[in-house]
Amino acid sequence: MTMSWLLVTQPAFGATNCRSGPNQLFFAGWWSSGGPLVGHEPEGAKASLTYEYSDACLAVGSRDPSRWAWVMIQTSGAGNFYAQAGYWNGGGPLDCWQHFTEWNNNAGPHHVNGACVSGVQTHTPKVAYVPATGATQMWIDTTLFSTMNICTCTWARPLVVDYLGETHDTGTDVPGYPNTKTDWNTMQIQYFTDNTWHGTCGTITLRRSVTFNGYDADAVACNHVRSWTK
Amino acid sequence: MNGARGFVVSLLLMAATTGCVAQPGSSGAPAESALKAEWKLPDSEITLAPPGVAVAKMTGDAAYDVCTKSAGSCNFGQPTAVQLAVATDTGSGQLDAQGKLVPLLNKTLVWAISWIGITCPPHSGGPPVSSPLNAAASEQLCDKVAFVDATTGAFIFDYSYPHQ
Repeated sequence: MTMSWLLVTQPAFGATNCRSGPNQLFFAGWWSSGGPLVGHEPEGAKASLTYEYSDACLAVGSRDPSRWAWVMIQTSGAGNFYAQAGYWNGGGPLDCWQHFTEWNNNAGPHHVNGACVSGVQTHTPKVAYVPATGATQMWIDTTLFSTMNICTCTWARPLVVDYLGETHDTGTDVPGYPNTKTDWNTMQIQYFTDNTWHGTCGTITLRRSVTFNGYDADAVACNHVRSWTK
Repeated sequence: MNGARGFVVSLLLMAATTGCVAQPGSSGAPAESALKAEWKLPDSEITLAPPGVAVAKMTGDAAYDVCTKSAGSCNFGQPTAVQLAVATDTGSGQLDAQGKLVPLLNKTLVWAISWIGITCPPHSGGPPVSSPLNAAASEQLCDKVAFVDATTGAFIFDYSYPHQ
């Protein structure tokens, strides 16, 4: 009888290897989609966002274990035209959960990272159009993180508002779990027509979007939504 | 090939503007230097100016250490440069008690830790509305600069953008 030694590399507790192909995007949350506009067209978005956290898969090769949650304004046309604010974690061993903002005018991402955050915290990410300049500003609470000096009025309309969690690999958990759901509350949109802010109740139709069956999302009220990993 | 050529050109330009020194820092980061010419970061209102006679209260190596260990923003391999500079940004700020926007960078002496021509850090983006699933291509190159206050040692923020 021959005894052989089997060497097994154990992943960290609770972790699995990343498994999705490159450049994959997965979402859980709510957005106004690009269908016929029912209600008011948004040009800005904000919410009181309770930061909840989640585990990442173990990166293999170029796999991307990052996870995110944010508010966003984007085009309803083709291409990467968006501006967003929220929090994320890259999933690497030295990465932390951080505030971030990002915008893209279809020529690549412009990304700002702020300080690390930890523990359950509630912040107000905001993407706001500035009528005086035509710029769009991205805020977390009272901190202006970045300014996009390109008018969103040049993007294919109607503009779309998003309140979503995101991953790039189904082995990574979208932020939040059943008992600690990521929570967007007191959601508001800025009207394209007059630049003023209004609650999402009775002003815009949001649609649920969950693109992987391991994630989930619900609506507590018309201005209050959540997403999490099952 | 074009990407590689652009990377080499960028390195040469960086060397020309910074007057790179040969000795690396003890953390493994490139040797610190003073910015030699004004540098306006693309698609932003961030401007870096030479520091003149200003003296940092911490080393560039210590700033890199702050950025790596407590901010999670310097984990992209060896930086291209660690430069002392005076930074101003009119596109970011903090509202004070009176509602006035106070710039985060206002002629602030910083260590600017930069990576030129790196694979773009992970980035977000929304769901496709009318086009196929369209995550930004991972082969795209970006430049990235992280700012650490050279007086207080505080991490301020980092900014990445498409490689120029």
